Amino acid sequence: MAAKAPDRRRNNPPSHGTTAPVFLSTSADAPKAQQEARPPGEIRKIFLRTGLIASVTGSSFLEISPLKLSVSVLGPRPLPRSSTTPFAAQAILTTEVKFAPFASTVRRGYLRDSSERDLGSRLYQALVGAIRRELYPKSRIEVVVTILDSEDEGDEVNTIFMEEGKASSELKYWDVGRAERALGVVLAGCITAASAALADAGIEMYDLVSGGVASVFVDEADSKGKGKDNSVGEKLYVRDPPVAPPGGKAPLATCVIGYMAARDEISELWISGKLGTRNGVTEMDELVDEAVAAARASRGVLNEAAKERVKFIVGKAQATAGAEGKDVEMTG
Amino acid sequence: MPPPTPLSPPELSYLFTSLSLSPPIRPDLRAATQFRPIIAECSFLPHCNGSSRICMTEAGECIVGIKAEVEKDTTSKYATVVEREKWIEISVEVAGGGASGPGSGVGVGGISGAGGAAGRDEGDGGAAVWLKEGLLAGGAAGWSILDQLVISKGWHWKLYIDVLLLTPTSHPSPLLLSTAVNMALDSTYMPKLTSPHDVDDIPTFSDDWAISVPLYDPSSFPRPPMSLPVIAIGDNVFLDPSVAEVAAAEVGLVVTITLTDSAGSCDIVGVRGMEVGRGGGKEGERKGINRKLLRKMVTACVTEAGEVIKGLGEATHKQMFRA
Repeated sequence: MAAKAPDRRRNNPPSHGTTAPVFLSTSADAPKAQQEARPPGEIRKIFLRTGLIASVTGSSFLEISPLKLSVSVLGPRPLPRSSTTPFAAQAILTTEVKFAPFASTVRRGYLRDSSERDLGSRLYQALVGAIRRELYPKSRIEVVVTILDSEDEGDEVNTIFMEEGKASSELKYWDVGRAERALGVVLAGCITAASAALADAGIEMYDLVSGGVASVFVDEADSKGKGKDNSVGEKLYVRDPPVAPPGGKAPLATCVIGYMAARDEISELWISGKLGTRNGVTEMDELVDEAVAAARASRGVLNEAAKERVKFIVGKAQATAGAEGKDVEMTG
Repeated sequence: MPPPTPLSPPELSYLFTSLSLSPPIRPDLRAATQFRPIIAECSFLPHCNGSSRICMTEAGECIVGIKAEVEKDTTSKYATVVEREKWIEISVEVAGGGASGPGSGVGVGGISGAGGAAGRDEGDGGAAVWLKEGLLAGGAAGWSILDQLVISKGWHWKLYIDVLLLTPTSHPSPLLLSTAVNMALDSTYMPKLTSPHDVDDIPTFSDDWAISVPLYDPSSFPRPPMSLPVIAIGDNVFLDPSVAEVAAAEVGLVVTITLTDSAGSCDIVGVRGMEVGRGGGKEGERKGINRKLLRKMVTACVTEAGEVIKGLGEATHKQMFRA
């Protein structure tokens, strides 16, 4: 392989080879049991590391209980000569989200399906405003997310059991919002991890974007009522919701946001489900506030991960500067 | 990539300034919440259960045909599992081959975001995804369109919603696609079941269309959902933005709403970010939506759009073959 001429059509591996990341074993405690005990206002613990893939400009790895994904950032690099847009005043961002074939219960093909493409464009929307693209003319930045494991719709989740007959009063709510919650958690993870990877790549941004997701539930009894009066029931807001709804609750809506905490701006918003408008848009507002709170919580983790690179650069600069002790210009 | 626009940077800047004035001046002198006129027809395709044709200025023309097929509940992994989300299939096709020509196939609906994967295999999958999402979410509080598709034990309707865009070079607004789908769904009728509900034999139907059953009962709520694009420039919020306005806008949303009573009040069933050009503003000003603006944008949709959806529904029912 190495003796041959380099293959120009693919992203070649570095000639010096790469080293696989080694994680310290922490598998003593089972992660699944923790989810049940989590209060609704608390998000799951996030593991986020940057710089694990040596061959790309920036990378990160994120783990939120069952969800595992890795992000690579390639570029900024020149636009290909064959591109349909040979000139761009601002960097062209492309995002790609792909589930590994083994990442969910049902096998996914190698070609991206419509939900993966949709996640990709959601991620694009979340990041594109935050990157200072005007600083990178005539270049492109690629963000590639690979989802290695996900909490997906599962066996009894996206399905109904026919033996029980079509007692549709029990089955009525089974499918509402399940896929949205599952994809929402994935998308929020993608946004957070992609921001960390962009920071790791040293690409200038206005602010880091952190992902947050929240769901609103009502008592099942209330939602089965007339439908119009469901606003009277007590609402339960859950940040970073699990795919299975809490016992006795019916889901109303899920909100995923990409949030720039330092600017207090939402770069990406995705609400799915039903929100009443009896009191104007307060129902939506409350849900968005919950998602913002979840995004703020994950921002803390993101900040720590972004610091890694700064520490690395500072450490390197100090080493080269030696005893001179020059101030280091920090960017990003 | 933002939708392609023929405007130059100075033109965008001019547009941006005039739209950020108070009161704003839109290029076609519409009020900020005024919609453009549309031509809408329904129930004209003889081979479909429901159909519609929508013609909009600038955004072009599209035809939707809805066909329903009787299908046995399929099982996927185990013998007991039914995937109900596959009961509805939406496809958005661009007439004339799609992938050639500026703006065709890429970013159809404005929110499919051709940025993902350089738009190469994007096609129009994005538009189909959000159209279906609104349709399924439209019944979250105890009513689902999927329940309407159950025929009898073990059998269901499979609904094919095929959207054909007849103007490949234009950049269709989400409003065009969702209005067309809304109207087609509203005019969809299913043949009446003559066999009993609780038997899992092959169902039989009456061939008399005069007693066919509407998919969305005209007298009941919710009505089919509809997605409205809304953009903001400065503190001004604009409904039904034109292509040039989208190119100059700072932020955009697509708000999917459904009519919940005859007075014209609506529920929100979905909100999505819409890709906008950010063409006219200065760099570094606004990079996202703050919550105050978000509230303002969604409120504008909810308060203004009820009447539009109601009007569209009335137009549909007037044209219906059984009216």
